[in-house]
Amino acid sequence: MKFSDTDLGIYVSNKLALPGDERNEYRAQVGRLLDTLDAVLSGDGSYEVKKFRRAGSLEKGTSNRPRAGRAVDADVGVYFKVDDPSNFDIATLQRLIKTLLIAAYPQKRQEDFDDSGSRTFGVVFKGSGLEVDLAPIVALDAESNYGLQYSRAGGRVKTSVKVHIEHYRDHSARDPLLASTLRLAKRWCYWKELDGISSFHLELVLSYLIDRDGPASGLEEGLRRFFLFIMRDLTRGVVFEGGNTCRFSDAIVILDPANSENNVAARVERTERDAFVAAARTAFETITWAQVLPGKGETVSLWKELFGDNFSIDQD
Amino acid sequence: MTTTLTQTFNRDDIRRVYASFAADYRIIADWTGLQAKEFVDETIYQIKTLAEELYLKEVHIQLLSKSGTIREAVVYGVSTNASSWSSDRPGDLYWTTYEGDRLYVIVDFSQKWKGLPPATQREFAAIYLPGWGATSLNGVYDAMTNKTDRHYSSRAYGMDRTRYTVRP
Repeated sequence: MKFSDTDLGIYVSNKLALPGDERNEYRAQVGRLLDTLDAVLSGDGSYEVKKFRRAGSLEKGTSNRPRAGRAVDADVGVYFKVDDPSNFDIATLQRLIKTLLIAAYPQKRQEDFDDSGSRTFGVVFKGSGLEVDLAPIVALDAESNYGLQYSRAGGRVKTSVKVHIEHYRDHSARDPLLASTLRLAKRWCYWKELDGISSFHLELVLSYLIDRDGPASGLEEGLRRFFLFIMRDLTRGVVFEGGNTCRFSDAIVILDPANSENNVAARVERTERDAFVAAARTAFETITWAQVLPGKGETVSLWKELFGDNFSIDQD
Repeated sequence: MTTTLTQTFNRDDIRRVYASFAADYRIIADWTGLQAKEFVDETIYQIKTLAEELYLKEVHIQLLSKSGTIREAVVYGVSTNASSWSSDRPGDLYWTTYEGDRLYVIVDFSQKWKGLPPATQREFAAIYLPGWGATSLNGVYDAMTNKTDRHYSSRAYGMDRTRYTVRP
């Protein structure tokens, strides 16, 4: 049987989505952290921080509940003014963020500031139930709309937190089901243990489908077209406004809506891509079959294969 | 509510088995993009009616080239003696298509249908099969290889799936 948007909305609201009041509290926590950092900055002119920009799922309102024992993630871009962006040490900026955090929170322990990330130079600040990843970005303009982000591997990319947030908001305004579909996609990706695929990748694929096909006709069909795209069309790449995938040879090409020269999926390995496509194929077949089975119980059983035992369309 | 049709299967068994065919058909249609969702939904409903009345002997899905050559086909044969079958999952029907290709669905009727008075057949077809025409299946797969790759069953009711591909 087919599930209505109301049915699936119950699952999304009751089991997946971070409740609104919790989200507000976590956002307020991030706000207090940034206010404290601003206070340190205003009292000490030696930091060349131009702006903090909130990023990621918490800011977009698409966070799922964290797994048991895990904290909610929040992302913040820390925009620095650098005299010569081609000649400076990014690790210095990372140390500056850590120093800034220690100055703002002298009572915290060293282990509350984690700068050991293997991929980025972010510093993770551990609050109560919340982990804020503060990533250094070299500002490229006066308003810090664009910046350079650095990876441990030595690469740097031009990108824009502001454009990413606006890109999401624009698409969610055009498709009111985007947030729920994204939450379902994130849950599926987690449940299927699909390494290498981030929630940002999933968001951009879903946004691309809105551009290409318009808003989804429903949550279930939105998921089906997402899975169909992954299994059939992902090899063609995901591009926004004039981007071109031809110059990329990566396993998956998803171009940054803020910079068509940046493939945000460049780190995805071929084995990870293959697992992603294979899982999407199974998911597409499973939902398609579930849609035409006569009973609710057998339909729910198939959905549980994709989303785990917590899948339920019943109000608790 | 379930309706007992025979001692060995009922309407729920038919619906459960038919669901596997319907999923296959929808997967083919979505993957190839050759039939609109509304048309597929309507066709699934029409054939389901035939199946539930035990009027269905076979369903054929054919991928035809612009010139009318069958590139790929899959045939679902109905069995009412499928108690010993295992039941597979639908899927794995991903046909390569080219410009001008078309998708056809053909049904072949059971002896029960053939035993109906022509007026009853016409009446049923007028209600449940509007827009369907007649065709011949004689020899259409002679130049193709075939393999039965899936069995769908629920108690004694079943469908086997045989795929036809062009000989290399």
